[in-house]
Amino acid sequence: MLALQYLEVLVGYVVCGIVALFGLLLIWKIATNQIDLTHLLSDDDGLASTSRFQLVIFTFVVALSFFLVVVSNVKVRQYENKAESVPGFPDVPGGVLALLGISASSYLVSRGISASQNGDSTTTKTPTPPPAGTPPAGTKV
Amino acid sequence: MPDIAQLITWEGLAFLLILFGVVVVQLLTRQINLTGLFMKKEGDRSFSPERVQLLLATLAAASQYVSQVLKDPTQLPQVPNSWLLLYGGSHVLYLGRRFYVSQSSKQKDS
Repeated sequence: MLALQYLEVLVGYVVCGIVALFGLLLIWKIATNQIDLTHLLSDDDGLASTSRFQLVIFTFVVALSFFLVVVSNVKVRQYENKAESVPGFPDVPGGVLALLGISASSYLVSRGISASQNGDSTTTKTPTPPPAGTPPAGTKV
Repeated sequence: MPDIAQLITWEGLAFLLILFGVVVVQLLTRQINLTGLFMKKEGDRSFSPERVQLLLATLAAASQYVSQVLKDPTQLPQVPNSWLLLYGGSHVLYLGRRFYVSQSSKQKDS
């Protein structure tokens, strides 16, 4: 039984190390521009988009908050010596879901407006076909 | 040797904070494109106040939420209805203005 517990702890440390290596690799690649974030906030036209920016901000905020709450719950369990009972994920209140929903749907609607604008501009840029009976360009009459 | 729960905590926090730091540095050094962030995408491409108010509302809501989490990190805090209304209103203003400008530039083109 003791050997199994040691093995559990050992596997835990190894998995922790592997995840840390992946995280470091990811950050290294972002920092050295091997993973290019230049267009993280850009729309199809190459200009930065406010709706994308607010979605990025909220994603960071909710991810950080969720992580802090999970970690804090683990600490509370340890302090109360309830380490054997595994704490579940925290409940996400309706207000947080509403905030994320507003943020994401605003991004989607904004994309829809941009797409309709681009669609219309490509339609107006399409040359109108010549009237029937007109000889094709370059034909000697 | 640190406890494994403590190790995971440090690892996760370090990852999130370093990632956040790298993104902020890239934003400040303009490696992440910010051109036209406060500019209208339709029409005359001039300065757009509705984008500024959206960004301010987002930053206010985000900082308020993070401060609530830091105050009591045992559970995800409830978001007050007034904040939801403020935030939703800000988005409606931004989207409404975008839609209006988009429609009026379409009418000008046609």
